[in-house]
Amino acid sequence: MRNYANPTNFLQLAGALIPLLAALTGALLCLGLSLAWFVAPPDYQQGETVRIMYLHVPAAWLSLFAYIVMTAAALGTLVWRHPLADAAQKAAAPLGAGFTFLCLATGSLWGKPMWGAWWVWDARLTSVLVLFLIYLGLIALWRTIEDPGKAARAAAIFTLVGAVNIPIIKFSVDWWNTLHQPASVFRLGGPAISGSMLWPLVVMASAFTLLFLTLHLMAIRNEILRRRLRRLSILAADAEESGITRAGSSMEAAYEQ
Amino acid sequence: MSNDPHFGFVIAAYGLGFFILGGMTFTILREYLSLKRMLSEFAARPSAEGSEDSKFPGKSLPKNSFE
Repeated sequence: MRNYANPTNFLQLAGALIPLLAALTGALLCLGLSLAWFVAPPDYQQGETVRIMYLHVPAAWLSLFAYIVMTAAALGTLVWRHPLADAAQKAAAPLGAGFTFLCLATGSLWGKPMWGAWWVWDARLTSVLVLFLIYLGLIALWRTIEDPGKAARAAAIFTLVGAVNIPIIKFSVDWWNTLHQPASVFRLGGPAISGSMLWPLVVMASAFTLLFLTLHLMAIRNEILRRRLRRLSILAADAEESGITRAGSSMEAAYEQ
Repeated sequence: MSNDPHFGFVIAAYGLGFFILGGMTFTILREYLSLKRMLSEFAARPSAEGSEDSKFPGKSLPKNSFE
């Protein structure tokens, strides 16, 4: 792992992995979409509306997964001071926000025909909204604090504090009476949905996971390049400034004479 | 399938999904190309002949540093 703290090694690894992951993502997404649209049956109560599940549920899982990745990266930043951890955390936040927004929006589009409401202040929905706001807060934090080191530490602490929301989201449907249905895949008695609907869901969730990994690697690569560019800009500005200072000193000396 | 009274909601959800996921992919790719272009412009500066070390003497860029 330490070996990949070296950005040059990481960029080489990312360069090799990204095309492979992208191809796998594309193939799995095509398979998942064809299963979800043409193989999975309509629900006996919900009809065709159930097809939103193949988008909504993977987006919900990925919104949590992205936050778990960020929490691990925050520990990497604060405890092990791994140089890649901060970049990984920063790169995951917009992706997590995107998946969470997709989860909320598709949930709303599913809720309107099934519940008769776009939104209810239900524990599951509200805790996911809080997760979305945490993502936005973290993105704002990185943009507000100018010193990258301070921003990384502040974001890592904020991420660890916000991690308390993850079990709340998971168990909200068990702890409170919610309009949102309880867990039907990851539950003690095994999945409660039919295999004909479960397999398309598993394929779509795998495609979304691969998509996240691909985009995350690409975003970390961008972050490394951005920091390189920043460093080069500072060095160039320093070099120019030292030239100006020398010229300025010469001018001052000339003025005093 | 399209006879379902709520089919519009399904289409809207998938349209939004393509828009968000496609948008994230496009943004990251565009940013990558832009960063690569800016870095290559730095390398092609007339005053920046040779390596980064020779561009900024005494302020070399560590190979294992992000910044």
